Amino acid sequence: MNQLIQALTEAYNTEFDIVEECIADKPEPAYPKGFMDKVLSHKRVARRSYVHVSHFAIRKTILIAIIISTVLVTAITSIAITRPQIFYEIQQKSTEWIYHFRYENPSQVDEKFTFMVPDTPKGYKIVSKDSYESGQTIEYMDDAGHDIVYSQTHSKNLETRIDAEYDKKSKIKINGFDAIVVKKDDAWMIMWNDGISVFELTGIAKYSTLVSMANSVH
Amino acid sequence: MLTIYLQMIDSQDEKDKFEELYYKYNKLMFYVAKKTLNRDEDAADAVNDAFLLIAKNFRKIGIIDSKETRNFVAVIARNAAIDIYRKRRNSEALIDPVIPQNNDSLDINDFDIVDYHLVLEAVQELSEHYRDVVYLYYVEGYRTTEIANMLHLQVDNVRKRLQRGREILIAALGDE
Repeated sequence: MNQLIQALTEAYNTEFDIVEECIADKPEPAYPKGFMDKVLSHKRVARRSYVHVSHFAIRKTILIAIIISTVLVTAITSIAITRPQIFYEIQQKSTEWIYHFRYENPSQVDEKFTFMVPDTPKGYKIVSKDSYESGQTIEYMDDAGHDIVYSQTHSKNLETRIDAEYDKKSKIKINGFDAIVVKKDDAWMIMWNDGISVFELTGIAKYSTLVSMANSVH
Repeated sequence: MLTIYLQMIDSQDEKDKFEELYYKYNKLMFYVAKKTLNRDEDAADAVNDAFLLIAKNFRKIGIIDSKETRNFVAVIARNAAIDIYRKRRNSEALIDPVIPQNNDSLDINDFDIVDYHLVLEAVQELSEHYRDVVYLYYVEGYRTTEIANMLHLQVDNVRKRLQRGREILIAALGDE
Protein backbone atom coordinates (compact mmCIF):
# COMPACT_ATOMS: atom_id res chain seq x y z
CA MET A 1 0.00 0.00 0.00
CA ASN A 2 2.87 2.38 0.82
CA GLN A 3 4.31 1.81 -2.63
CA LEU A 4 0.94 2.57 -4.21
CA ILE A 5 0.68 5.85 -2.30
CA GLN A 6 4.28 6.68 -3.16
CA ALA A 7 3.71 5.88 -6.83
CA LEU A 8 0.51 7.93 -7.00
CA THR A 9 2.25 10.87 -5.33
CA GLU A 10 5.18 10.66 -7.71
CA ALA A 11 2.92 10.32 -10.73
CA TYR A 12 0.91 13.41 -9.81
CA ASN A 13 3.99 15.41 -8.81
CA THR A 14 5.58 14.62 -12.14
CA GLU A 15 2.43 15.31 -14.13
CA PHE A 16 1.76 18.72 -12.63
CA ASP A 17 5.45 19.68 -12.51
CA ILE A 18 5.41 19.24 -16.28
CA VAL A 19 2.18 21.25 -16.59
CA GLU A 20 3.66 24.06 -14.48
CA GLU A 21 6.80 24.07 -16.64
CA CYS A 22 4.71 24.24 -19.81
CA ILE A 23 2.57 27.16 -18.62
CA ALA A 24 5.41 29.12 -17.01
CA ASP A 25 5.70 31.42 -20.02
CA LYS A 26 1.98 31.65 -20.63
CA PRO A 27 0.08 34.78 -19.54
CA GLU A 28 -2.12 34.89 -16.45
CA PRO A 29 -5.64 33.85 -17.44
CA ALA A 30 -7.86 36.76 -18.37
CA TYR A 31 -11.43 35.72 -17.84
CA PRO A 32 -13.44 36.36 -20.99
CA LYS A 33 -16.10 39.07 -20.96
CA GLY A 34 -18.91 36.55 -21.38
CA PHE A 35 -17.86 34.75 -18.23
CA MET A 36 -17.41 37.95 -16.21
CA ASP A 37 -20.86 39.18 -17.28
CA LYS A 38 -22.32 35.86 -16.19
CA VAL A 39 -20.84 36.00 -12.69
CA LEU A 40 -21.35 39.74 -12.18
CA SER A 41 -24.74 39.34 -10.53
CA HIS A 42 -23.34 36.69 -8.15
CA LYS A 43 -20.48 39.00 -7.36
CA ARG A 44 -22.85 41.84 -6.48
CA VAL A 45 -24.92 39.57 -4.26
CA ALA A 46 -21.78 38.30 -2.53
CA ARG A 47 -20.54 41.83 -1.88
CA ARG A 48 -23.82 43.25 -0.65
CA SER A 49 -25.90 40.72 1.13
CA TYR A 50 -24.48 37.25 1.38
CA VAL A 51 -23.40 36.48 4.89
CA HIS A 52 -22.31 32.97 5.53
CA VAL A 53 -23.51 31.74 8.91
CA SER A 54 -22.08 28.49 10.12
CA HIS A 55 -24.10 25.94 12.07
CA PHE A 56 -21.85 26.59 15.02
CA ALA A 57 -22.69 30.31 14.93
CA ILE A 58 -26.44 29.53 14.78
CA ARG A 59 -26.19 27.15 17.75
CA LYS A 60 -24.12 29.71 19.66
CA THR A 61 -26.72 32.44 19.03
CA ILE A 62 -29.58 30.19 20.16
CA LEU A 63 -27.66 29.23 23.30
CA ILE A 64 -26.94 32.89 24.11
CA ALA A 65 -30.62 33.79 23.57
CA ILE A 66 -31.70 30.98 25.94
CA ILE A 67 -29.18 32.09 28.58
CA ILE A 68 -30.29 35.75 28.31
CA SER A 69 -33.98 34.77 28.54
CA THR A 70 -33.29 32.58 31.58
CA VAL A 71 -31.34 35.37 33.29
CA LEU A 72 -34.11 37.89 32.56
CA VAL A 73 -36.90 35.62 33.82
CA THR A 74 -34.88 34.77 36.94
CA ALA A 75 -34.13 38.45 37.59
CA ILE A 76 -37.77 39.53 37.16
CA THR A 77 -38.98 36.68 39.39
CA SER A 78 -36.41 37.56 42.04
CA ILE A 79 -37.44 41.24 41.97
CA ALA A 80 -41.12 40.28 42.13
CA ILE A 81 -40.41 38.22 45.26
CA THR A 82 -37.97 40.53 47.04
CA ARG A 83 -39.10 44.02 45.86
CA PRO A 84 -42.79 43.90 44.87
CA GLN A 85 -42.95 47.64 45.50
CA ILE A 86 -41.23 48.22 42.16
CA PHE A 87 -44.11 46.58 40.34
CA TYR A 88 -46.58 48.61 42.37
CA GLU A 89 -44.79 51.77 41.26
CA ILE A 90 -44.84 50.62 37.65
CA GLN A 91 -48.54 49.95 38.01
CA GLN A 92 -49.03 53.43 39.45
CA LYS A 93 -47.46 54.90 36.34
CA SER A 94 -49.94 53.16 34.10
CA THR A 95 -52.74 55.26 32.63
CA GLU A 96 -55.62 53.28 34.04
CA TRP A 97 -56.23 50.91 36.93
CA ILE A 98 -58.75 48.15 36.66
CA TYR A 99 -60.32 46.82 39.86
CA HIS A 100 -62.17 43.53 39.98
CA PHE A 101 -64.46 43.28 42.98
CA ARG A 102 -64.80 40.39 45.31
CA TYR A 103 -68.15 38.61 45.38
CA GLU A 104 -68.78 36.12 48.19
CA ASN A 105 -71.76 33.85 48.04
CA PRO A 106 -70.65 30.40 49.21
CA SER A 107 -74.22 29.09 49.49
CA GLN A 108 -74.79 29.94 45.79
CA VAL A 109 -78.31 30.97 46.77
CA ASP A 110 -79.58 34.32 45.52
CA GLU A 111 -79.36 36.54 48.52
CA LYS A 112 -81.63 39.48 48.96
CA PHE A 113 -79.76 42.63 48.12
CA THR A 114 -79.94 44.95 51.13
CA PHE A 115 -79.83 48.67 50.55
CA MET A 116 -77.62 50.45 53.02
CA VAL A 117 -77.67 54.22 53.46
CA PRO A 118 -74.95 56.32 55.09
CA ASP A 119 -75.64 58.98 57.69
CA THR A 120 -76.33 62.36 56.13
CA PRO A 121 -73.44 64.64 57.10
CA LYS A 122 -74.04 67.86 58.95
CA GLY A 123 -74.88 70.72 56.57
CA TYR A 124 -75.97 68.38 53.77
CA LYS A 125 -79.34 67.22 52.65
CA ILE A 126 -80.46 64.50 50.24
CA VAL A 127 -81.37 66.04 46.89
CA SER A 128 -81.98 62.87 44.88
CA LYS A 129 -82.33 59.15 45.44
CA ASP A 130 -82.51 56.49 42.78
CA SER A 131 -82.72 52.78 43.38
CA TYR A 132 -82.73 49.97 40.86
CA GLU A 133 -82.48 46.19 40.88
CA SER A 134 -78.72 45.95 41.47
CA GLY A 135 -78.03 49.13 43.37
CA GLN A 136 -78.88 52.64 44.45
CA THR A 137 -77.54 56.19 44.12
CA ILE A 138 -78.07 59.03 46.59
CA GLU A 139 -76.94 62.61 46.04
CA TYR A 140 -76.28 64.95 48.94
CA MET A 141 -75.71 68.70 48.67
CA ASP A 142 -74.63 71.41 51.10
CA ASP A 143 -75.70 75.06 51.15
CA ALA A 144 -72.80 76.07 48.95
CA GLY A 145 -73.97 73.68 46.23
CA HIS A 146 -71.18 71.09 46.74
CA ASP A 147 -72.51 67.62 46.29
CA ILE A 148 -71.55 64.16 47.48
CA VAL A 149 -72.72 61.14 45.54
CA TYR A 150 -73.11 57.81 47.27
CA SER A 151 -73.67 54.63 45.31
CA GLN A 152 -74.10 50.99 46.23
CA THR A 153 -73.88 48.35 43.52
CA HIS A 154 -74.05 44.55 43.52
CA SER A 155 -70.43 43.34 43.21
CA LYS A 156 -71.17 40.21 41.16
CA ASN A 157 -69.09 40.34 37.94
CA LEU A 158 -68.35 44.00 38.58
CA GLU A 159 -65.16 45.80 37.69
CA THR A 160 -64.29 49.44 37.51
CA ARG A 161 -61.62 51.51 35.84
CA ILE A 162 -59.97 54.44 37.55
CA ASP A 163 -57.95 57.10 35.79
CA ALA A 164 -54.36 56.71 36.97
CA GLU A 165 -53.76 60.43 36.69
CA TYR A 166 -55.45 61.07 40.05
CA ASP A 167 -53.24 63.19 42.30
CA LYS A 168 -53.32 60.83 45.20
CA LYS A 169 -54.11 57.20 45.78
CA SER A 170 -54.06 55.33 49.08
CA LYS A 171 -55.62 52.44 50.92
CA ILE A 172 -57.61 52.65 54.14
CA LYS A 173 -60.02 50.42 56.07
CA ILE A 174 -63.79 51.07 56.13
CA ASN A 175 -65.62 48.88 58.66
CA GLY A 176 -62.77 46.37 58.37
CA PHE A 177 -62.87 46.23 54.55
CA ASP A 178 -60.10 47.44 52.23
CA ALA A 179 -60.96 50.76 50.64
CA ILE A 180 -59.30 52.83 47.93
CA VAL A 181 -59.07 56.56 48.29
CA VAL A 182 -58.22 58.74 45.32
CA LYS A 183 -58.08 62.54 45.00
CA LYS A 184 -58.00 64.80 41.98
CA ASP A 185 -57.95 68.55 42.52
CA ASP A 186 -60.52 69.07 45.31
CA ALA A 187 -62.59 65.97 44.63
CA TRP A 188 -62.32 62.78 46.66
CA MET A 189 -63.48 59.29 45.96
CA ILE A 190 -63.68 56.42 48.43
CA MET A 191 -64.55 52.96 47.17
CA TRP A 192 -64.83 49.72 49.11
CA ASN A 193 -66.33 46.28 48.81
CA ASP A 194 -67.82 44.02 51.49
CA GLY A 195 -68.10 40.92 49.32
CA ILE A 196 -71.68 41.58 48.23
CA SER A 197 -71.82 45.28 47.39
CA VAL A 198 -69.44 47.88 46.04
CA PHE A 199 -69.77 51.23 47.77
CA GLU A 200 -68.57 54.53 46.37
CA LEU A 201 -68.57 58.02 47.76
CA THR A 202 -67.42 60.94 45.59
CA GLY A 203 -67.58 64.66 46.03
CA ILE A 204 -65.91 67.96 46.76
CA ALA A 205 -65.98 67.74 50.50
CA LYS A 206 -63.75 67.28 53.50
CA TYR A 207 -61.97 63.97 53.54
CA SER A 208 -63.04 63.37 57.14
CA THR A 209 -66.69 63.96 56.18
CA LEU A 210 -66.52 61.30 53.48
CA VAL A 211 -64.74 58.81 55.78
CA SER A 212 -67.40 59.34 58.49
CA MET A 213 -70.16 58.74 55.94
CA ALA A 214 -68.43 55.60 54.72
CA ASN A 215 -68.03 54.20 58.21
CA SER A 216 -71.70 54.79 58.88
CA VAL A 217 -72.72 52.35 56.17
CA HIS A 218 -73.63 49.06 57.94
CA MET B 1 -14.22 36.47 -8.42
CA LEU B 2 -12.32 36.06 -5.21
CA THR B 3 -15.03 38.02 -3.37
CA ILE B 4 -17.59 35.27 -3.99
CA TYR B 5 -15.35 32.51 -2.66
CA LEU B 6 -14.23 34.49 0.39
CA GLN B 7 -17.85 34.97 1.46
CA MET B 8 -18.10 31.20 1.88
CA ILE B 9 -15.26 31.04 4.39
CA ASP B 10 -15.66 31.79 8.08
CA SER B 11 -12.48 33.05 9.68
CA GLN B 12 -10.11 35.77 8.52
CA ASP B 13 -7.15 33.35 8.75
CA GLU B 14 -8.86 30.99 6.36
CA LYS B 15 -9.82 33.86 4.05
CA ASP B 16 -6.16 34.90 3.89
CA LYS B 17 -5.17 31.31 3.23
CA PHE B 18 -7.76 30.96 0.48
CA GLU B 19 -6.57 34.19 -1.11
CA GLU B 20 -3.03 32.77 -1.18
CA LEU B 21 -4.33 29.58 -2.81
CA TYR B 22 -6.32 31.57 -5.36
CA TYR B 23 -3.40 33.65 -6.58
CA LYS B 24 -0.94 30.76 -6.47
CA TYR B 25 -2.97 28.18 -8.40
CA ASN B 26 -5.45 30.17 -10.48
CA LYS B 27 -3.24 29.99 -13.54
CA LEU B 28 -2.43 26.28 -13.18
CA MET B 29 -6.11 25.41 -12.70
CA PHE B 30 -7.12 27.47 -15.71
CA TYR B 31 -4.67 25.74 -18.05
CA VAL B 32 -5.44 22.29 -16.62
CA ALA B 33 -9.13 22.93 -17.31
CA LYS B 34 -8.40 24.40 -20.73
CA LYS B 35 -6.56 21.21 -21.73
CA THR B 36 -9.91 19.40 -21.51
CA LEU B 37 -12.23 22.17 -22.67
CA ASN B 38 -10.20 24.23 -25.16
CA ARG B 39 -12.37 27.36 -24.90
CA ASP B 40 -11.31 30.09 -22.43
CA GLU B 41 -14.88 30.72 -21.30
CA ASP B 42 -15.49 27.04 -20.55
CA ALA B 43 -12.17 26.79 -18.72
CA ALA B 44 -13.14 29.86 -16.64
CA ASP B 45 -16.42 28.13 -15.78
CA ALA B 46 -14.55 25.01 -14.68
CA VAL B 47 -12.10 26.99 -12.55
CA ASN B 48 -15.02 28.83 -10.98
CA ASP B 49 -16.72 25.51 -10.12
CA ALA B 50 -13.43 24.14 -8.79
CA PHE B 51 -12.85 27.14 -6.51
CA LEU B 52 -16.41 26.89 -5.17
CA LEU B 53 -15.81 23.21 -4.35
CA ILE B 54 -12.47 23.99 -2.73
CA ALA B 55 -14.05 26.80 -0.67
CA LYS B 56 -16.72 24.39 0.59
CA ASN B 57 -14.07 21.86 1.61
CA PHE B 58 -11.41 24.33 2.62
CA ARG B 59 -10.97 23.12 6.20
CA LYS B 60 -9.13 20.05 4.95
CA ILE B 61 -6.57 22.02 2.95
CA GLY B 62 -3.13 21.98 4.54
CA ILE B 63 -0.08 24.02 3.56
CA ILE B 64 -0.86 26.08 0.44
CA ASP B 65 2.65 26.06 -0.99
CA SER B 66 2.95 22.28 -1.19
CA LYS B 67 2.78 19.72 -3.96
CA GLU B 68 -0.04 17.96 -2.15
CA THR B 69 -2.26 21.06 -2.31
CA ARG B 70 -1.16 21.85 -5.86
CA ASN B 71 -2.01 18.33 -7.03
CA PHE B 72 -5.33 18.46 -5.22
CA VAL B 73 -6.51 21.74 -6.78
CA ALA B 74 -5.34 20.61 -10.20
CA VAL B 75 -7.27 17.34 -9.87
CA ILE B 76 -10.38 19.27 -8.81
CA ALA B 77 -10.01 21.68 -11.75
CA ARG B 78 -9.52 18.81 -14.19
CA ASN B 79 -12.61 17.01 -12.92
CA ALA B 80 -14.66 20.21 -12.96
CA ALA B 81 -13.64 20.58 -16.60
CA ILE B 82 -14.55 16.96 -17.35
CA ASP B 83 -17.90 17.51 -15.65
CA ILE B 84 -18.63 20.52 -17.88
CA TYR B 85 -17.45 18.63 -20.95
CA ARG B 86 -19.70 15.70 -20.06
CA LYS B 87 -22.71 17.97 -19.57
CA ARG B 88 -22.08 19.74 -22.86
CA ARG B 89 -21.71 16.47 -24.71
CA ASN B 90 -24.56 14.95 -22.70
CA SER B 91 -22.59 11.73 -22.41
CA GLU B 92 -19.65 10.22 -20.62
CA ALA B 93 -16.47 11.96 -21.69
CA LEU B 94 -14.35 8.97 -21.08
CA ILE B 95 -15.19 5.46 -21.99
CA ASP B 96 -14.35 2.82 -19.43
CA PRO B 97 -11.32 0.89 -20.58
CA VAL B 98 -11.57 -2.85 -20.87
CA ILE B 99 -10.40 -4.40 -17.64
CA PRO B 100 -8.07 -7.34 -18.07
CA GLN B 101 -9.40 -10.29 -16.12
CA ASN B 102 -6.48 -12.64 -16.44
CA ASN B 103 -4.91 -12.40 -13.00
CA ASP B 104 -6.44 -12.90 -9.59
CA SER B 105 -3.23 -13.64 -7.78
CA LEU B 106 -2.58 -10.05 -6.53
CA ASP B 107 -4.66 -7.82 -4.33
CA ILE B 108 -4.31 -4.22 -3.19
CA ASN B 109 -2.13 -5.18 -0.23
CA ASP B 110 0.45 -6.82 -2.49
CA PHE B 111 1.67 -3.54 -4.03
CA ASP B 112 4.48 -3.43 -1.47
CA ILE B 113 6.00 -6.70 -2.64
CA VAL B 114 6.10 -5.70 -6.31
CA ASP B 115 8.95 -3.68 -7.81
CA TYR B 116 8.23 0.04 -7.20
CA HIS B 117 8.93 1.03 -10.82
CA LEU B 118 6.29 -1.39 -11.99
CA VAL B 119 3.77 0.14 -9.58
CA LEU B 120 4.67 3.64 -10.76
CA GLU B 121 4.36 2.58 -14.39
CA ALA B 122 0.97 0.99 -13.73
CA VAL B 123 -0.23 4.14 -11.97
CA GLN B 124 0.98 6.39 -14.79
CA GLU B 125 -0.79 4.25 -17.35
CA LEU B 126 -4.03 4.22 -15.39
CA SER B 127 -6.69 6.45 -16.97
CA GLU B 128 -7.34 9.78 -15.19
CA HIS B 129 -10.94 8.65 -14.99
CA TYR B 130 -9.94 6.18 -12.26
CA ARG B 131 -6.60 7.55 -11.18
CA ASP B 132 -7.98 10.84 -9.78
CA VAL B 133 -10.45 8.98 -7.57
CA VAL B 134 -7.73 6.56 -6.42
CA TYR B 135 -5.41 9.50 -5.75
CA LEU B 136 -7.99 11.48 -3.73
CA TYR B 137 -8.88 8.36 -1.76
CA TYR B 138 -5.43 6.92 -0.99
CA VAL B 139 -3.16 9.97 -1.01
CA GLU B 140 -5.39 12.92 -0.05
CA GLY B 141 -7.40 10.79 2.36
CA TYR B 142 -10.91 11.85 1.32
CA ARG B 143 -13.86 9.54 1.91
CA THR B 144 -15.95 8.30 -0.98
CA THR B 145 -18.83 10.62 -0.03
CA GLU B 146 -16.50 13.63 -0.01
CA ILE B 147 -15.02 12.64 -3.36
CA ALA B 148 -18.52 12.22 -4.76
CA ASN B 149 -19.40 15.77 -3.65
CA MET B 150 -16.23 17.26 -5.05
CA LEU B 151 -16.42 15.55 -8.41
CA HIS B 152 -20.21 15.80 -8.80
CA LEU B 153 -20.56 12.03 -8.91
CA GLN B 154 -22.82 9.49 -7.25
CA VAL B 155 -21.19 7.74 -4.28
CA ASP B 156 -21.76 4.39 -6.01
CA ASN B 157 -19.97 5.70 -9.05
CA VAL B 158 -16.98 6.75 -6.93
CA ARG B 159 -16.87 3.29 -5.29
CA LYS B 160 -17.12 1.68 -8.71
CA ARG B 161 -14.24 3.78 -10.05
CA LEU B 162 -12.14 2.95 -6.99
CA GLN B 163 -12.85 -0.73 -7.42
CA ARG B 164 -12.13 -0.71 -11.14
CA GLY B 165 -9.01 1.40 -10.65
CA ARG B 166 -7.67 -1.12 -8.17
CA GLU B 167 -8.58 -4.00 -10.49
CA ILE B 168 -6.81 -2.37 -13.44
CA LEU B 169 -3.68 -1.77 -11.36
CA ILE B 170 -3.70 -5.32 -9.99
CA ALA B 171 -4.23 -6.70 -13.46
CA ALA B 172 -1.40 -4.55 -14.87
CA LEU B 173 1.01 -5.73 -12.20
CA GLY B 174 -0.10 -9.30 -12.60
CA ASP B 175 0.89 -9.16 -16.27
CA GLU B 176 4.47 -8.33 -15.37
